[in-house]
Order: sequence, then C-alpha cells, then structure tokens
Amino acid sequence: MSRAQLILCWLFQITASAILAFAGIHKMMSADIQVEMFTSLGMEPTGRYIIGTLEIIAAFFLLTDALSAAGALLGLAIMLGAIIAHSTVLGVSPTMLLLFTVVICCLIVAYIRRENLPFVGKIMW
Amino acid sequence: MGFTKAESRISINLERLSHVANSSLYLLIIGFFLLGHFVSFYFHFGTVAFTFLTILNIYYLYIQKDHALLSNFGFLAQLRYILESVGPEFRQYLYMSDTEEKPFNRMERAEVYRKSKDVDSSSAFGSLSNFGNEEIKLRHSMYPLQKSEQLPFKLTFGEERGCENAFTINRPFMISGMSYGALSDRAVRALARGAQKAGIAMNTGEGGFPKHHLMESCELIFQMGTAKFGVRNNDSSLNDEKLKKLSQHEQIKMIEIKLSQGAKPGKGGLLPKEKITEEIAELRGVSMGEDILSPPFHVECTTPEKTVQFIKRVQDVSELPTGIKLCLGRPDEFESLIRAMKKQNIFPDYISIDGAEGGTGAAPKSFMDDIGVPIYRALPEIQRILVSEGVRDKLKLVAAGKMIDAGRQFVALSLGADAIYSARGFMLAIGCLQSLQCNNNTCPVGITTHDPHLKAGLDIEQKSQRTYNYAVNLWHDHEEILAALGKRSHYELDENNLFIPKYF
Repeated sequence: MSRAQLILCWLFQITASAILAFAGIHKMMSADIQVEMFTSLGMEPTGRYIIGTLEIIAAFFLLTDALSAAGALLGLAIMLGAIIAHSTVLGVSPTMLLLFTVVICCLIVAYIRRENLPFVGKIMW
Repeated sequence: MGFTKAESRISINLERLSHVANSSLYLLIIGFFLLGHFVSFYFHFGTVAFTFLTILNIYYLYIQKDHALLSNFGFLAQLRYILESVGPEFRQYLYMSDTEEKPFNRMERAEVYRKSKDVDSSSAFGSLSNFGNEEIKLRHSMYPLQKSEQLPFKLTFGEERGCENAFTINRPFMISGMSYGALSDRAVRALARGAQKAGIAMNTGEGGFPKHHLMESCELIFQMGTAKFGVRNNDSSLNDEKLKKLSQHEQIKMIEIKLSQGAKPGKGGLLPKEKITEEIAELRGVSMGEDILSPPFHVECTTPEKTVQFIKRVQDVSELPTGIKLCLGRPDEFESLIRAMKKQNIFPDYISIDGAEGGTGAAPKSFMDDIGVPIYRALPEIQRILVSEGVRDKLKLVAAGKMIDAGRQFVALSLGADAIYSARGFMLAIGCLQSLQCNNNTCPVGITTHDPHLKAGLDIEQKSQRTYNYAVNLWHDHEEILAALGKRSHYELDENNLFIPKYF
C-alpha cells in the first residue's frame, strides 16, 4: 500500500466511522427519530440497542489499523440491513444519503485493505 | 438413467454436500427475506448474513483462481484450510502419541522439562521405548561402583600443544552455538546466566560480537562461521586485529571455526537487508542496506593444507584453544585433512562433530533431511580415522546432534567423544515447546523471536534457574549412569559399553 493510498484509506475510514458512531450513539440515547423508525420496524427497543451496539463496534474497528477491513465489512452488513429497512418498510428519506456515503466509504476501505479481509485475505483472525 | 437397487447404507458424500450447500445459499436469502418481511424484521439479520456469505461464495467459486478446491466446492472447502491450520497444535496437544513427534517426542521433552523444573522424574510400569533390535543401549556392569569412588570430571582443551590459555571444563556437556539473532537477547542471557551458575561453558554461535552473551559472566566459546561475523573483512576473510581484540575478553575461552553445520552442511546463508538492524550491523561488522552473503566455506580454506594453516593462524592470533566444527561428509576428505595436519604437525585443539540431525534456526528442508552423516555413524568413523593415523591423542572430540539426555550423551561418549554439545536441550529447558517457528519471528515463548511482546514473557532470572537445574540434573544422571556402568570416570568409556543391535 502506497502512502497516498494509506492516507486516502484513512480519510474514508474516518468518514464512515464518524457517521456510524453518530448513528449508533443516537440509537443508544433513544433519539426520537430512531425510536420512531424502530417502532415501525417492530424492533423497539431490543433491535435498536443491538444495531446501535454493532454500529459503535464498526465505528471503533474502522479507527484501527488491524481491524479496519473487518470494520468496513461490518459497516456494509449494517447498511445492507438499513437498505432493506428503507426499501421495504420505512420508505425513502434524506438520511439515506448518509447511508450510501457509508456504503461507498466501506467498499473503498475494504478494497484497499482486501489483504486483511476476513475469509478473503490470508488470515482469519 | 438406469435405476440401481436402493441400499440402506448411509454415507456422506462431501462433494454433493458442498453442491447442495452452495445452491441452498440462494434459497436461504429468499427465505429469510420473506420471513423478515412478513414475520419479524429480526429475520433480516439472516438475510444480511447469507447475502454476505453468498457474495463470498461467488468469489470463491467464480473469481479467485488460487485454490482449485475453493473453485470446485465453495465455502465449505474452507473447512479444510481452517482445520489444517490448527493441525499442528491439535496433533501436539491431543492426537500424537508420546513417542511419535519429531525431532523430540513428548517423552523426551517432558524429561527435559522435569529436569529443568527440578521435579521427580521417575516413571511407572515400564519403558515406552522400542526394544525391537533397533535402539542402541548401554551395557551396565555386574559390579557397579559407589558414586563416591568416582573421579571428578576434568577435560582440558589445548593441553596437547601446551597452549598457555588452556581451557578446562568440569562438566562433559556444553551449550552449543546459538547466536543472538537466532535467539532473542533475553533467551541468550537466561542461558548464559544459567551456564554461569552451573559452571558450564557456552558457545556464542556465529552471530558476531557476543554482546548479550558477555552481559552475564559465563565462560564462552566464540564461534566463527564462514562469514566470520564480528571478526571479518568485507570479503568474508578473517580480520586478525578484530579477532585479537575479541580474544582478549576475559570470558572468551576458546575459538571455534565452523566449517559446516549438521543441519545444513555445505550451505552458506543469506542475511537479508531487512533483518539488518543497526545493532546487528554493529555486532556482526556488516554494512546496512545490503544483503550479506555467508559463503558455504571459509574463503581461506580451499584445500586441506590451507585449512590447516588457517587453524594455525587463528590459534596464533587468538592465543586461545581453537577447535573446528564440522558435519562429516566424505571420510576420505576428512582423512586427507588429518594427513595434512600430521604433515604440518598442526592440530586443532578439538574437533566438534555435528550430526546431520543437528538443529538450526532456519535451513532448506532438503539440507536438513538428506545431507550429512548422523552422529552415531560419524563418530566411530572419525574415531577410526584418528586412531589409524595415530593422532587421537592430539586433540579432543566433541559430539553434537540431539544430545538432550544422558543416555544419548553416553552413547556418544562411548563412541569416542570427550564432551558433548547440546543446544536444543537447553532451549527446551528454558521453555521451548517445539512449535517449529524459529524462522518466523513468532516463537510463542520468546526464545527465537525479536517481537517485544513475545519475548517479554521470558523471565531471565527464572529461566536461568531452569538452565541451571537442567545442567545439575543432567550431571546427576551422568554420575548415576557412570556408577551403573562400573566406571570411575568418563575417560574409561568405550564401545564395549554399548549394545549395538546387529541383524542376526
């Protein structure tokens, strides 16, 4: 990985991490909009806490060197769930812009750090 | 399609299982999606997980080309790689029998561990060794001696030629060459401190100036490899000045010229520039930023005559007892070397014979497995040549090669050796688990690694006590066995003490 790639990668990591952390913390703090969303999904409050925890974990992983690839993968998984939620139950909303930002950032991070991806790279753990 | 008679046997067809698994992934996504949509959104956890697994599986099946197994069978084939990767641990912990592992089986290692921890080492019920006409055994005497009747062990290197700085050892075993570089600094210091406590000598290995060995106050034998690290010119020739300066260290008692090594006889080495830190460059006397080649032979030693002259040169410059270390290859070459010594009346103070089974930090597998003569075959051969040339009393013989217990050491001593070198025995004593990772910088017990996290676990004081215990208990075994053989000293051992099975 070249130095330029590394810096670029960290920019995307930080962006994705910030959005995920923001969303995760809001879920854990029972923000009105989140409670509303999870009520319509029928996952209030357990599901909200699970997803919030996962988002915070992904945000944390994205800020490390060794686990950022795994963090990107986890971020993508959460976002896939969010896309399903928006397309089947919640409907289109402006928050989806943030959602796709995370998807793009995570895809780029996972690509740049593909050597470290679990199950694809060389080591599993 | 013809119908065959139905059978009620059940067997698992892994190929079909993997095909079923691969195609059912798609159905699982659809199933979970529907459940998530109509029953509970929680089912979408399954949708997401199986979507990822499917993408991964598509990558395995259609994109990657590295592994045929993954291309043909998909994600279930990963089980093979996962299980294979933990195989060594499982075999060592659970499945391999006590006498099965190589190079040292669990029984042999456990004996070293017991000695080093100073715990009772009696065993019950019966021996786990083979008695099938293939192992060498010791012959005891009908008239054993009391231990009090034994003479103290004393072996003086350099006495034959009246060397001023002749070096006497009081135990028949020494720690063989392990350099700083191959070993971590903490491992070196633990061994050196233990050697000092136990009063045994330690070889420095060919790692250049033995800075870490010298931090403890044990007696050292400086080993000079073919690259002559620490005492070299840039073309791998000997720098007399540096050798002279090094020899003046109080602790350095002997010099050993390594002609070849049992684990990789006839092979040089390459120190890649990535491994050359500032410290290594300084200790070894090499420049940073370029690969350093160890030639397969000493540039001075191209003929028997020149080899003998080189030995003389080292003896003169260092003013210390000087030995050579080699693994026996062709006996006729060894014979001509001895003849050249006789002709010039110059002899090394000792010859250390490394068996082909000797250890190494890293060597090509074919060299480890297939080149060189094993110690039990090499020793009698060398003894025969030395005796028939009439020069056996001009030098000492030291034997090395898996000499981790007193039994093996006694066989070597009976075959003609005067003393024993062991490296891996002492590594086991300071906690080596034989995880076979010496060349990966990942040694889990911090012995052959420079990873600060891994070597942090190696406590120098505690492990030096283990070294000491091992040496003391090894000596205890020596005394007991010697008494059982009815001998008063190690000098009285000869081939008649051995039961060497021959096919009848």
